[in-house]
Amino acid sequence: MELVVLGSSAAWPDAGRAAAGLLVRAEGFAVALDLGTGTLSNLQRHLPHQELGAVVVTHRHLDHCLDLYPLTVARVFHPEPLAPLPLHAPGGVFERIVALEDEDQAEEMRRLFDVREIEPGAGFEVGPFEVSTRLLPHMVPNAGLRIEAGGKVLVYTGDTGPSTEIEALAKDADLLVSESSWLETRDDLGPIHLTARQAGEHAARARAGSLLLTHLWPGLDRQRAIDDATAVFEGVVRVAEEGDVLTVGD
Amino acid sequence: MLGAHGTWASAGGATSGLLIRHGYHNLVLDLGSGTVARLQEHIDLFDVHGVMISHSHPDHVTDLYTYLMARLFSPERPPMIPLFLAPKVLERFSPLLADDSGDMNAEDAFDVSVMELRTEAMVGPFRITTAPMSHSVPTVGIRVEAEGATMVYSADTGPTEELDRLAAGCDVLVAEASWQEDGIDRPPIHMTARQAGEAAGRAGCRRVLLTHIRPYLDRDRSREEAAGAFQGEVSVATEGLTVGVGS
Repeated sequence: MELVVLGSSAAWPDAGRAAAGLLVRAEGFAVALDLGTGTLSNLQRHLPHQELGAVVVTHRHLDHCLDLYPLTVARVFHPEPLAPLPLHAPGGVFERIVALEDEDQAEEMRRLFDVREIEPGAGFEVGPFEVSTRLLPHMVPNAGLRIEAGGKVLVYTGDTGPSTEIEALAKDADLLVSESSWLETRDDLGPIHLTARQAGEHAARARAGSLLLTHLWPGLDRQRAIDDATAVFEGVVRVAEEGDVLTVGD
Repeated sequence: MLGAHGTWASAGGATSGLLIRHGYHNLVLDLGSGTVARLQEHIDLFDVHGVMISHSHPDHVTDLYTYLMARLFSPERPPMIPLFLAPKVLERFSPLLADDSGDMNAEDAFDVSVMELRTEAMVGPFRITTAPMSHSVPTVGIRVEAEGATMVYSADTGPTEELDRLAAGCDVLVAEASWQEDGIDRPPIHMTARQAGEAAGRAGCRRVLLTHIRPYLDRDRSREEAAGAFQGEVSVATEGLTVGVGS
């Protein structure tokens, strides 16, 4: 299983970066996990957009799904008709994007996707991937994703505050891709995001093989994020950079 | 050029967006997908003195959401700046803002005004004039003048005398060239590269910069088409391209 980082910024992208997005590939099948602004452009550095096999979106915040819009337009204008693209997402994600169009065009957009609502806690299959989900605490329903193929396990938190559910989801995973929005806790905002240190603590409790920090607030000191997580987690800690390609389980 | 792709962006690209700079002043025209990340490759994210959105199509608008989020949620809250919107942008944009957290309001970060299609405005040293274009939704073409130098941005449009007049005598016309000559009869809501060159010729521009080219088209062919209809300099816009306007 191979992971490509499409975007690593939280909320809005830093110069040259993109908002949240990952591409996961195995057995010739490619699935995008979240598609924030700038990610569709980065995705096409790795494969033609029409070869994407499915999209999974963790929650309805737009820094995780805004590029569903240009993906839709690219599919509308594709020279040959394309089969509906499976889109797994919690309720409300696709309709928020579809609302950008008037009703005629919205109908066309709906025909281009095979929308399958994620009930957090339920599992589903995407190509060669077995996906299980857990509801993780955020401002809106967020489905943490556990993805298994070929005996390897990748877990992606989406956006979450601290929770024992993360450890349950990521138990013995080869790679935990964890949000790491902050360096200091923000008690004023409630438990909606993790610090890098908290990401490391969850990785340690889950006994994950390695940790990839992503969804970093613009301007955040990325080396300090690695240092903070490394202080509490014995495995390898990396920080996501656009274009990074990782083999899961290496 | 922050974003030079039409409709959607291919690998490494972004959809429509321009940064106009003069001295210490910066003006942004359109904010398509991927443009906010690109803006920061040239200037500080908040060193912008005004934003104008030409029309309501999402390939010109979606990163307005991204920019709003940045202005609302940065530790240093930047000062208010004017945001000029073509008609229907706010309506089209509102589903993006509707959220249960209830904290996204364009008016908390911008002095928002909805433009008439013919508008005159000043932003710092920039004298801005707009005119209605020929498109499927209300769209403004934008003329920007500063200290004797003039650039005009067609936004999305088919051939129209309004563009010829707006662009009269300009130094640089950033002209949409969504299509190429292929014998197919289409509604006049976009231009072929040849039509973009013809418009630059009628307007007497010094230079035309082709943008909003559909991602699947051969850009060299677009350049040749426009050059066949225009005596001045023809360039194809790419992300990051910086062009001097005037002498």
